[in-house]
Amino acid sequence: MIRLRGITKYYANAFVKTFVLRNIDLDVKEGEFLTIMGPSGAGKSTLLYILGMLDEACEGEYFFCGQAVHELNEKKRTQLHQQNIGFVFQSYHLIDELTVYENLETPLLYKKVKPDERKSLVADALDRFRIVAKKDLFPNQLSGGQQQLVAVARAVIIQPRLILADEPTGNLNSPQGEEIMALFKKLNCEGTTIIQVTHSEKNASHSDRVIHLLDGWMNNGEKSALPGENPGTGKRKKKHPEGT
Amino acid sequence: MNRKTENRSAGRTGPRSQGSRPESLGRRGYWKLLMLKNTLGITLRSLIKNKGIFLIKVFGLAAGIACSMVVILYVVNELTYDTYHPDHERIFRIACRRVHDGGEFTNASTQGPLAAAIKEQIGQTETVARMIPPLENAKHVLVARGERRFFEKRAWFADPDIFSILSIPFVAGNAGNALARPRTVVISESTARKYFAGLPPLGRRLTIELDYDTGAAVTEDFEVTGVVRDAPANTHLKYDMLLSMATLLTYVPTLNQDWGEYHPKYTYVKLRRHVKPSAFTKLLRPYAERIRQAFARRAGSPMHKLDFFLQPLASLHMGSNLPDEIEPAGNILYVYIYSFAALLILLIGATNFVNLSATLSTTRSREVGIRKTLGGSRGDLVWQFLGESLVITLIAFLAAFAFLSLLLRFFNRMAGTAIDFQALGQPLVLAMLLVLFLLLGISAGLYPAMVLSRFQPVSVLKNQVFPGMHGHAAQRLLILGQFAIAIFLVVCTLVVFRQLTFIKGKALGFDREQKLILEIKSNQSYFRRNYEAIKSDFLKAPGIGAASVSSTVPGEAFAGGYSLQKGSSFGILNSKRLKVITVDHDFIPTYGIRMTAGRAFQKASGNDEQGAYIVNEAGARELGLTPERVLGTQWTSHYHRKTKTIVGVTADFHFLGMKDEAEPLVLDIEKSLLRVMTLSLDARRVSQSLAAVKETWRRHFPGVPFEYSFLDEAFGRVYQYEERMGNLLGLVSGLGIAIAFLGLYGMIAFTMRMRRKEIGIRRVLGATSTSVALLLTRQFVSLVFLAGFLAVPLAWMATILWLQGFAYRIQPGFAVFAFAFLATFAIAMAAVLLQALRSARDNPVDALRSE
Repeated sequence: MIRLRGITKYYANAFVKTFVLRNIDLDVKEGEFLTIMGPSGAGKSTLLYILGMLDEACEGEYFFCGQAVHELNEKKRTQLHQQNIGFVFQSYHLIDELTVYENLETPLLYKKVKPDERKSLVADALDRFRIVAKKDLFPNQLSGGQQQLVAVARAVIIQPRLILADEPTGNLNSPQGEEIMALFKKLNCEGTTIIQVTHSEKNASHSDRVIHLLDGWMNNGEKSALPGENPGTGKRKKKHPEGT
Repeated sequence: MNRKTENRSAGRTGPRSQGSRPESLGRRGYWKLLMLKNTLGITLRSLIKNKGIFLIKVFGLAAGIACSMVVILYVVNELTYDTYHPDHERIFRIACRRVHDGGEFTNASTQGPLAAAIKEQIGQTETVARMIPPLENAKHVLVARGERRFFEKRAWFADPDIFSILSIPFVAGNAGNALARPRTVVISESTARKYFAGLPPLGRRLTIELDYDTGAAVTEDFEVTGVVRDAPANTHLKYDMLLSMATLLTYVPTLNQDWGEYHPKYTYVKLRRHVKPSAFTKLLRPYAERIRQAFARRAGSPMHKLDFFLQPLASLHMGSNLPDEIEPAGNILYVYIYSFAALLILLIGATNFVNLSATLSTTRSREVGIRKTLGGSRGDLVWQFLGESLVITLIAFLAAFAFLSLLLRFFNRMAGTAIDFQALGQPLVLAMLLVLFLLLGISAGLYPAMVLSRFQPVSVLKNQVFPGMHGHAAQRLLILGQFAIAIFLVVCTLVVFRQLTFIKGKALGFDREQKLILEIKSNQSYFRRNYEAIKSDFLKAPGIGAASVSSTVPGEAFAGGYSLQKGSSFGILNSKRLKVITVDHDFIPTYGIRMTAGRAFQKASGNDEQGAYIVNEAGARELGLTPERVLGTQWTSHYHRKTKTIVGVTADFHFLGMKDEAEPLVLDIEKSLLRVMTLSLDARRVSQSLAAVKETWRRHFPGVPFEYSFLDEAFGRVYQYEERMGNLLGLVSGLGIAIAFLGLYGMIAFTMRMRRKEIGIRRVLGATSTSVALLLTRQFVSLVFLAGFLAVPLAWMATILWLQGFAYRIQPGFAVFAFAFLATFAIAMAAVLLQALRSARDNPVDALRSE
């Protein structure tokens, strides 16, 4: 589904090129649950944004479902992104001035879904995530966990093939975090590809595969694991909680 | 894996197939509408969140819009004069150019028989009709019904056919026979209310006094045979009463035959379709010849040339400014000045809008980032923010409507217009408002929309957008422009007011304090015959120091001019043209006019009435002689063909104010043009004098309403155009500065809020509140300075240009510009410093903790 070849990202000023990503090759299969780990500044988020077509690489090729993203113009890219990708962020990024209902509705509007269909999709999502009672509240009237729940619902509502999550549980306490991860797991089981960035081993343990970034370089799952972190070291990890 | 894939594709049928389908344009519009509906909520909520700034934005825009609305109404009114008559392209007024009595004259009116001649002999027209002002007492027809007695200023003798040329809709009676009989009158609705107060006017009578110049004034009862709509504001031919032409014919039976009669008769023709005006004009030539012959026979003053020409009806207001014009012509200059002023206000208001929207954009950047990650394209976002700007513009329009009627009343008083609120309903006005709305909404929304939609979600969501003024070159440019306009306006206002003060303070060469003016509007022939006796009666009233009668008093246009020929006969070749004031013996002392050579008129000399002229210095120059040498020379006037000797020369005096040089004038004792009496009052006994004067008036003019004015007040009107412009500029610059100030204040308040943390850190690092305040103000200081450098040269050029129109003018010096600049600067600084000090004084700890 996703194929990155030689993806490189740097910020250049007159004298210095600051590299964020260096020559990344990555393949993600449809239905996979992938975790990207690494210390702060390693380039995780940048990679995620490039995958989400919100940012462009300076060099390299990006194929999404066979389409050469690096060759598309902005409009085509937006369309591709609009149809296929949902985002979840650490700080939720709900629109403060919109109610829960309106927040859920927004991506459908951009996707130009017909009004009656839109209504039923929003109603389904409210139902499925058990937030019907909250639909007229504004984000600041919700707890962090509830906000993230809404954010996930909003990411899912367009029925994306790919969900990109940037430290989705970073601002949550552990029961809330667990809930969100369980949700991701469930979505993944239903067929959605998920790529998450996280610092948390516990979250990473939910995924099928972990890759590590350090200073813009990528270590493949097999080679990367630091001792004790990833005893499985395989691409397909078993689904049981791992301790350190 | 298989299971998963199946599941997913099953769940994704609907929307996916939706989106990938190519869309037609119409569908795209539909989605934009839906999007707009969705974002309306967010617009309103974010407006409420930033109430202050929202109010400033709307206020600025609304002020600009309201000014523009007024100006649009004004301009439309000015430019649509007389276009409401059906087929106005085929309607013309017949005017003529003639050379006689040593001068060339152009007139908007012509002779009485022409209309009949056109109808019976030329053809080519659908209709011809005349409008004739009541003769001697043209603008002061005394009309009475019982105790209701008024002077009517807009009364006309009208041919019945006028109703099929001009659109004058009947409310009661009918156009076909309303003016068929003598002594019938058609009145306007407001006139009907004035005299009949709710009674049905048809068939009732009005008593009307008319002076036919054939003896004493005649008072007769007229039957009201029709009521018509009031004349709209945009016609040159305004009317309150239309008297039947048949009435005039009973008193002036030669009206349709006498080609030599000179009272003005305005003749309107409606040409047949496909008749060219130029071809029609040619057909009029033989009649010009008849008029020439008639004049030669009658007055012995040969007319050397007479040409008719046609004036298109709709061009009269702006294009025709003849001496006998029915209404003072419109001035395209004012159309420009007012439009320009409104444009400036609109610019300042729109600038505020753009500026504040761009400033606020930093708070919206996160939303933009989110929307982009949710699949919003840049186009979607541009539309969203344009939609918002249109919504705010709409709110501003509604606000503008709210205070439009107030502003309109103010404008009408200031500009001397009578524009009606209802004129907004005209399709042309509505179309212009719609254009204004779209133009404003889009142009004001475009820059913020562009800025906002450009935000990259990655940097926004990582919090890499820095708020505030840094690097927003466009925004600084806008503030620069705003203050440049403000300074420009202040300079212009100051110059106009200083110039006004200057000319008002200059010595006029005559005394205008404590003068009571009585205009004789009725019984003029009685007045002219008996003015000496009437005057001495008024002099008996307590506190009346002096009395004089004349053809003109200061502040009024001169009645006319004399062509003077040296020697004892009149020929046209070498005559000189001077304006004339006909006076009595006491005119010069009553007005305190100084003599520079010779003597004033003296009763003792016995023969001044028959044998003496007095000229002013400019008049002497016009005659080609110095004041000393002009004394004793003899001149003959074209007007009465009397030969008189110049016995005195007065210093120049300015009856029309100091706008122009003194006119060359001749003073002559000549009864036939007298119509005003001037009484000098004792300031301590004014009310006593007035009561006595009124009593005397009653005795001499029974039944004529007692109307008076004070000279200094009436004279003030000579500067009314300049005063209007001064007031208008004052209003506009006040408004402009207020909007610019509020805009700056709002923007800085917001910037400060966004920079709270930075300021907190600086304070923690040891900065004093003064140094922080300075840091925050520095950039604005240079902006306003730059604005001054831009505005001052432009303002200098504009004011110099305007001052060219004055014979006596100030030199706008450094002080004016410095003052305007400093005043604007101080106001801008107040906006900045108020905010800067407040935020510098905040406890830094609060700011840092709140992050």
